[in-house]
Parts: sequence; C-alpha cells; structure tokens
Amino acid sequence: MFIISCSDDDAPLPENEEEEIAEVVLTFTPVSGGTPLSFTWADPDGEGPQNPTMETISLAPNTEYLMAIELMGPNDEDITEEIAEEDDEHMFFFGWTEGLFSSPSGSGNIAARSGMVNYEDADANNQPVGLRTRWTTGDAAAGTFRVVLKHQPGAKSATSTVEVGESDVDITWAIAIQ
Amino acid sequence: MVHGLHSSRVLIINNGVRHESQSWGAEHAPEIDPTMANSIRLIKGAAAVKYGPGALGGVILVDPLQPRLTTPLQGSADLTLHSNGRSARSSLFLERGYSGFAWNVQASGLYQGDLHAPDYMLTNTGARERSASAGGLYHRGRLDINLHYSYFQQKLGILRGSVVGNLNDLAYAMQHEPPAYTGDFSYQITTPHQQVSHHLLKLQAAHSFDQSSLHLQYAFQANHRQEFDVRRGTNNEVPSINLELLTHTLDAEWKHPNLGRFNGAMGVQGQYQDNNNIPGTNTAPFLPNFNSLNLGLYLSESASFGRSIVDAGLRMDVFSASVRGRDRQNEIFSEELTYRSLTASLGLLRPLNAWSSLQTNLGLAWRPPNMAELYSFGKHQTVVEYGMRRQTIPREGENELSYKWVTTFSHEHNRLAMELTGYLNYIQNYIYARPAGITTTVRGAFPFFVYDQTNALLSGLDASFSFQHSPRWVSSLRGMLLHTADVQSQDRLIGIPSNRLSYALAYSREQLGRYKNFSAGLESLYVFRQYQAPPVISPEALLSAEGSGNDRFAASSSGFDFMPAPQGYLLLHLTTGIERGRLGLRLGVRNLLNTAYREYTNRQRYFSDELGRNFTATVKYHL
Repeated sequence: MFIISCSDDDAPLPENEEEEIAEVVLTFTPVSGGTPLSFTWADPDGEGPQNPTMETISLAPNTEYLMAIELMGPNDEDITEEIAEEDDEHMFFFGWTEGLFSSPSGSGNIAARSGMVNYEDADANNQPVGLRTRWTTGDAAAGTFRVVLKHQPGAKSATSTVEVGESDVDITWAIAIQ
Repeated sequence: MVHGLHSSRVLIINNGVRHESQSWGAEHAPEIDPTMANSIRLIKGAAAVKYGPGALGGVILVDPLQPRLTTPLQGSADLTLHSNGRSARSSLFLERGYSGFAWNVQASGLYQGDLHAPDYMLTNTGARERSASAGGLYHRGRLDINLHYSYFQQKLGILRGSVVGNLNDLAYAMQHEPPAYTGDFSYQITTPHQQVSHHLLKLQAAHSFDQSSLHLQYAFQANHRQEFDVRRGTNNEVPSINLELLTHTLDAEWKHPNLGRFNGAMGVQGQYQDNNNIPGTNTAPFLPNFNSLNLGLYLSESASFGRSIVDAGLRMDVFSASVRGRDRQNEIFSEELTYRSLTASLGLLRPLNAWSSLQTNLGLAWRPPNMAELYSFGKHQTVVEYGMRRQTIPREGENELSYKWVTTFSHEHNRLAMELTGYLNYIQNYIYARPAGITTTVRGAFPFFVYDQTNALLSGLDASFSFQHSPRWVSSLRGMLLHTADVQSQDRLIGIPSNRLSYALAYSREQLGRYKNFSAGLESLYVFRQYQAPPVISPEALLSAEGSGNDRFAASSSGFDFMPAPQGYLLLHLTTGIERGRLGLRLGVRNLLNTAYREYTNRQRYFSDELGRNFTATVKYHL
C-alpha cells in the first residue's frame, strides 16, 4: 500500500501541471476573408500572487467573425482538446456591453441563460459548447467582453445557468470596435 | 477541542504513542477508530511533559482495552444503525488471558451513505471505514512486554456543493439552499473525497525493580493521505494531494525510587519522521517532502507537603527538519530548520476540606510551526493559502509559545458534585491564516490567505454540576465560556468556538423486572452565536471592491469572514438502554427537534446546514 522512500534527500518529483489553464487565446476570423485576429490572456504563475496579462480585443465595425477559443496549460498542453472530449460537461457563457454586436443582440447569456449567443458547436445531447461561436460587430464602440467556462458534470442542460457548476475560466476582457 | 484549541495544538496520544498524521488540516479527523477507544482522558499537570511539544491546549489520551492476564475467552460483538446516512457500523472484540500471556483482537467497519440536513440531502457525504487491531502481553516475573498493531482506513466524501471555482461561485453557493448537485440518497462516494490509512506498530517493555521501574517503547506509524478534487478528465481519478508520512518513535522512561517526599520519572524521547509526496498528482505539491528529528529530555516530579501535592515538570526539545519542495516552476527549493524550546509545568493540589479541593497549574508549552503553516502554496479545499516561508516577503516562522494558568475547584458533597475550571492562555506567535488579498486566476477572482503570527489571549471558564435528585434521577449542567483576543492588533480571531450550555436529565434502574441496567436520558445543548466573530465582507463586496480598484486589504491587516457567524441553536437528544443476559440494546434520537442549524467552527457552514434528526440503534452481545 505504501512506498518506502528510497533516499532521504529526495525532492518531490516534478509534476506535470496538466490542469491549470495558463493561457487563453480568442481568435476572431473574418467570415468574408482576411487575417485572423488573436487576443491572448496569460497567467504563467497560476495561483501565485502575480496578476495575469491580457490584450485588449480590437475588432472592425460591422464585420462578421467566427471566434475560436484555445486553452493552454503552463507547459503548452492543449486543454482545448480535453474540453472538446468532455463537451457534455462543459459550456462557455458570454456576457458583453450591450450594443457591441448587432448579432447576437442583447448582452449575452450570463445575466440570463435565455440571452442569445450564436454557438457554432454542440455536444452529443445537442447542447451548445462554445469553443466556436459567431459574432457580427456593430458600429464603433467600447466595453467589456466576459468569457466564462463552466464545468457542469451531470448538470449541463438546456436551462443550466452560469451559476451551475464550477468556473474553470472567468475572464473579463476590454474590447474596442474601431 | 480542549480549552478553545484543536488540531495542531492538541496532542493525541493513541495507545501510548503520539498520533502522527497530516494534522495541519482543520477538517482532517484523527485516524483513530472510535469504537476501539475504551477510555479518553485529558491530561492535566506536570505528567503532560512526557508527551512532547504541541500540547498548547492539552494532551488527550485515547486508550484501547489492554490485554488482560487470567481472563477466560470472552468478547463482544455489536452492530449500530443510524437512520441519517443509513449507516451500519459493526465491531467484534475477543480476548483471552493466561497467567503469563494474554492477547486481544478487534475489528470494525462502517458503511455510510449520504447524510441529510433537516431540509435536504447532503450529497456525497458518505463514508467507509475499516479497522483491525491485535495486542499481546507477555508477563514474567517483573517484566512485561506488550506488542500492539492497529490499522485504520477511511474514505470520506466531501459535500459536492462545497466545491467553488471563484468568488462568484462562492457568492452563489452561500446564497442558495439546497447546495448545488443535491440529489437523491446514495451510498456512492465521488469527488471530492479523502482517503486515509494509518498503521501503528508498538513494542513496549516494562521492568520493575524494588522501588523503581524502567519503560522502553518503540513505535512505527505509516500514514497515507490522498485527497481527490473535482478535476477534468482522467485527473478526476488522480489524487491532487498524495502524502505518506512515516514516523518512528523511541521512548525510554525511568520511574525513580522515592527520594524523601519526591517521586517522579525522567525520560528521553526521539522521533524521526519522513514525509514524502507520492508522484503522479499532476499538480505542484501543496506540501514539500521533509525529514525531521525531534529529541526531548524530561523530568517530572511530585511531592507531598502535608495534605498538599506539588508537581513540577521540565522538558527540553530540539526539533530539526530538512525540507525539499518544488515551486510552481518545478524548481527545487530546500531548507534546513531548527527549533528548540522548553516545556515546563508547576502545579499545586490542595484539599480545602473533606469534600473540596483546589488545583492550580502554571504551564509553558510550545510547538514549531507545522509544514502547512510554513510551506503550503496554492488551493486546498475552498481557499488559496501561502505558508510563511513561501510569501513574496518570506517570514521566518517562529515557535508558538503558550503561557497557561489553569485553576480547578472541585467539590463533592452529599448529592452535589461540581467542578469549575478557569484558565488563561497567552499564546505568543499564535499562527493563523489571514485574508491578504484577491488574486486573479483563470477561474476569476479568488481571495488568498497568508499565514501570519500574532499574540493571542484565550480566557475561559468550564463548569459542570451534577445533582442526584434521588437514587434514580440525576441532573447535570455544563457550561463553557471562552473569550479570545488578538492582543497585538486588537482584532478578532476567526474560527474560535462559541459559548455553550448543556443540561441533561437521566433516569436509571439496576433492575427492571427481568431486565437490568435500564437507563433513559434527555440532553439539551444550547450553542450561543459567536459574538466575537471578525467583521464580515461578503464575496459580492469583495468583487465590487476589486472591480473598482479599491483594495480592501490595504487599509489594515484585520481579518474578516465571508459570512456572519450563524445563529445560536438548541439541540435535543434522547437515549435509552437496557440489558438482558448477554444482550444489550440502546436506542436514541439525535437532534430530536430536527433543528436546522450551522456550527461556526465547521467550514461547511458556508454551504449547508448540519445534520437533521438521526435515529440510532445499537445491539451488543457479550460472548
């Protein structure tokens, strides 16, 4: 049952911190063609006291984008893939300053689950996931854009709100449409 | 809980051996089978010095039944059922003693499902326990040799709804009842849960001489603790804390011949520990690996002067540790630590008259900071915490020193028995976790705590009265008052037990027709609201302060709590028992009124009520 330690001056073996999300990248690709725009949030020290760094999201007005979310561990492990494998337990919620987007209208599905978000993916139960979403910007404006990833094992449904489950990601970005 | 202190500040001596485990977690229960404990005693006075550092609150002796010479083959089997948790606990005990040899064996098990509060299930609070022990005694002339082995294993579910990812989650969890994920009753235990096992092997020899005796004892303990958190994917099956602690203890004590009016003992104690992280947790280790050695020398004496007894004890300890850990960047750090201090005790027991006596004791006790207080780093349960040596500006981490004065007045006359104990405990360098800020993680904002030291004064009064109304009816009244103060910063300390008062009325009859030992009792317990709780800053207030760039922690180092201290509560318990021949039966109801309440010292109070009504039944058969 237990291992007798081999030597008395051993340090703990290095652990592969697979779970901690250290980097989140939002990539907006214009549907009509053009260069994809990526915005990175990074916190290499995880639960350490250093604050994370993030880039302001900057998008062109009246443009339709497909947004992809990528999540990476501290040693560049691909966590996006893990979320995709467990998509029936995970869901991204979005909340933004009203008026930033012409589609979806409103302010997202954080304040109320019924708020509209254009999901481009679904899990086996046909519930949205949010690794891929569609956005059409409005006129020039500025505000905030909040992305919340909830882990809702056994609790994800058509009505489960942002208050269900644990927050794996909760990041509020500054955004400018210009 | 002894005089307001618990966990690392109370020494538990299990079958004569210092119980060594990962006691740094307030929610880590000691790995001791409760059915095995035949007696539980609190040690007062100078005798406590033989047990070593750490007894700031006191020393608790947990003793199982010892093998007995010249005893026929006998034993007992029992089964206890609880309605709350739909649990069954069973134990078996056998013993046999000859003129020069005796043995006993014991085994027990618990199978428990989800507990429930008065209004909802507490999902994922099931438990499993298995334990076994065997003891042997060899007696020849003036020599006694005792060998004992015990094993305890426990799997303990943690309320699923108590898992929170960030301040928003915490705010939601605190405002909603029933807790998230509340489901139907189940025996299943999923994450989060803890799994611990504890082995204890003890070899003890005692030789008596004409007027003195020599005692030698070696003990080995292996404690293995795994904590499983809610994690993604296959990591959900992988413990995030996996620690193995091996402890060797060697004791030698000589009870010397009486020297005039003095009798007493002197001894040495050595303890070697090896703590290792078992690799494969896929997360940075919360605690480092360490090896430590504690050497202690003590002398305890007592002497009679007329009708008074004076006792005194003195002990010197040196504790050294070599620590190796890994930080977030997987870099190795290593440190060598040395702590040393004196333990001392001076007491006087003085009879006042034929039925009253006064006992007063002055004590000095200490403990080195534990490894969590020094080195913890990151999230454990619902808090992120940083040990004293892992902060941005590291702190040394000083010994905790306790200067304690305890006085007990005992009185027993006619039908009244009473005991009044008052105490003052000044703790220098009292170690506590203080909220120090909000860190932004990928999960959002999270409050973090840093271990810090202050000077605290605990003053308290314990009182108990019992009154024999008639041969069959007896009443007892108990009260506990505790006042604590952070004398350095005038702040209030968090998590201090609140005042309580209990009254019990019991009826007993030795014979009742063909039955014997009939008893019935009603107990009422009132726990007062903790009026000394620190100020409240709700998660919402923290979030909005953070949003507006207003640092709530900059102004002062003052502590706070996320939630006000819960209301006071009244519990009623009923119990009755009867025996016939070899068979005994006990029935009881805990929390008869099904009161919904929360206990201040339980961290679970942020998330759920405590247990609702619980019917219990025990059948015991003497073999």
